[in-house]
Amino acid sequence: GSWTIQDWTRQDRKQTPTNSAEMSKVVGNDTKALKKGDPEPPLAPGKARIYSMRFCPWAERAVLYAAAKGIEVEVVNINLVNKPEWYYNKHPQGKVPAFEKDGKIVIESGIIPEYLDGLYPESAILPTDPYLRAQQRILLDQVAPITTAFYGLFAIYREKLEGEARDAKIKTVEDAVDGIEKLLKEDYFGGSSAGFVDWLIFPFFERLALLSSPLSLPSLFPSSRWPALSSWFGRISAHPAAAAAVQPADAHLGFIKSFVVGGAPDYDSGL
Amino acid sequence: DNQTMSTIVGNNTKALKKGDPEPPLVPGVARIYGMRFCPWAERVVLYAAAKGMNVEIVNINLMNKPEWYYNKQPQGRVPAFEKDGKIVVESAIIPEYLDALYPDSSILPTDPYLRAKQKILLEQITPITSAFYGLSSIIRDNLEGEARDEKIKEAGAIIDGIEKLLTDEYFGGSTTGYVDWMILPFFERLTHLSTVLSLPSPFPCSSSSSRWPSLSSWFTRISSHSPSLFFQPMNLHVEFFKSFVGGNPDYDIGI
Repeated sequence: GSWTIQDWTRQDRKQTPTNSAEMSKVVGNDTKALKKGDPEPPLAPGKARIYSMRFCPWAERAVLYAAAKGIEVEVVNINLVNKPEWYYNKHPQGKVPAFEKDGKIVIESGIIPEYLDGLYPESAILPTDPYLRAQQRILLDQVAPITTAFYGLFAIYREKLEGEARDAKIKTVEDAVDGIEKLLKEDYFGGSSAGFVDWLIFPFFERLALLSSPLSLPSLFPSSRWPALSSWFGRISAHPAAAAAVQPADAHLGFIKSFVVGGAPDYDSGL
Repeated sequence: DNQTMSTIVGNNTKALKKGDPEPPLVPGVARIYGMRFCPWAERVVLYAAAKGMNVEIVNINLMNKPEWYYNKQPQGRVPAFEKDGKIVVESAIIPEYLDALYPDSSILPTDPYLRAKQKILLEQITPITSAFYGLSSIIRDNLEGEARDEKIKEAGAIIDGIEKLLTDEYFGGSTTGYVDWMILPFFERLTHLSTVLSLPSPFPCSSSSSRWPSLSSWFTRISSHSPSLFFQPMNLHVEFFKSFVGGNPDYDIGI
């Protein structure tokens, strides 16, 4: 069935409607963000770690993908305005996500998933067939406009945009989503089950849904304007991997509010 | 380079336009859709050459595209790669596909970590494309004085950053790799712009006062590799660009 706004703003979204029996092997997603002066937590050989921030859509891609693969991984959250000095050894600009295991560090939210499939081939999500693999990568590029368009919604909130300025930002989002709706031909972008593109695009649609009500947009997304995407969204939101990565709406909205007013964002919102 | 010399045909054929029929593609034959002066399409030609592949090139008139070309790439852009009815687009994705089709001549590492590192390195060097567009805009928009200097300064800073990333003979290590071929078209065009704009820091520059000694010697080194045979001559690039900024690109210049 389709996912309504009421479902989406449920506090207890971690209790997914479907199978929650699978205990998430992703630990640490709800830990406080480490900041300058905090020591680097030691990482034992053989253990996998994602450096993240609980509300960053790019870092969420890595957490979702790891959860979807069912791999054991710990999440270490980073305070992005007051970074631990050691974090620059993981990512040269101190951005999240980064992935670390056995002394090898891989960065970039579009590259980490492929690396995870290389390290853990038995749970590969990207197709091994070269043509199908290429099509998933091409599809990711084709859905990319939503990853920039959604920042316009923050701008509305932050700058209290009204009238034409506000409408222009919303139109950019609508145009992007119109394009993506046409690309969704099956239950998932990956075909009959969630794939690479599904996990990498989900965080952005999650945020569209989240921002609908603070922006007084009762039905930005999901919406009957986009029937395929709206029902996709309900389907993927119910996936156990979404439960592992997604933050409750009130904590997330608390973060967004702190983020748009300026000053130090509340990276530990809800903890 | 791969031991096998590549056979690439069609690099200097006239650009097909609206009304021109689609040339039939024989099963088993690999085809690249390109445009002789497009750096993105050139990435794929260089990669195919470096792999020692046999491939045919079909050039496309990008202002007046054949109708059938939209079946290859939905926005009608180049490059596209086609073989046995399967089409792959995107200049950074096609090389990976070529390595999978022709694994014996793989250029990207198979080791997942080394492969990821090459992709991350390409991301870090991608600003070279905006340096190229910034310098090109000096010509396109007839920039002078401060506006011109600003573009040159920005481009210089980007290239400074890339100079630091070159820690070996090539971006691929001791031999040419994925990153080398992906970025070469932009450095090739930097050499043209360096001459045309009389840039204060010339590229390439082999003197001891060179601002970018590693990149300069990298460029000279890689230009002696056989894929560089597919560079169009600088004078044709300059003429093409003039026709492009004039609003009437001459895709067939020189042929």
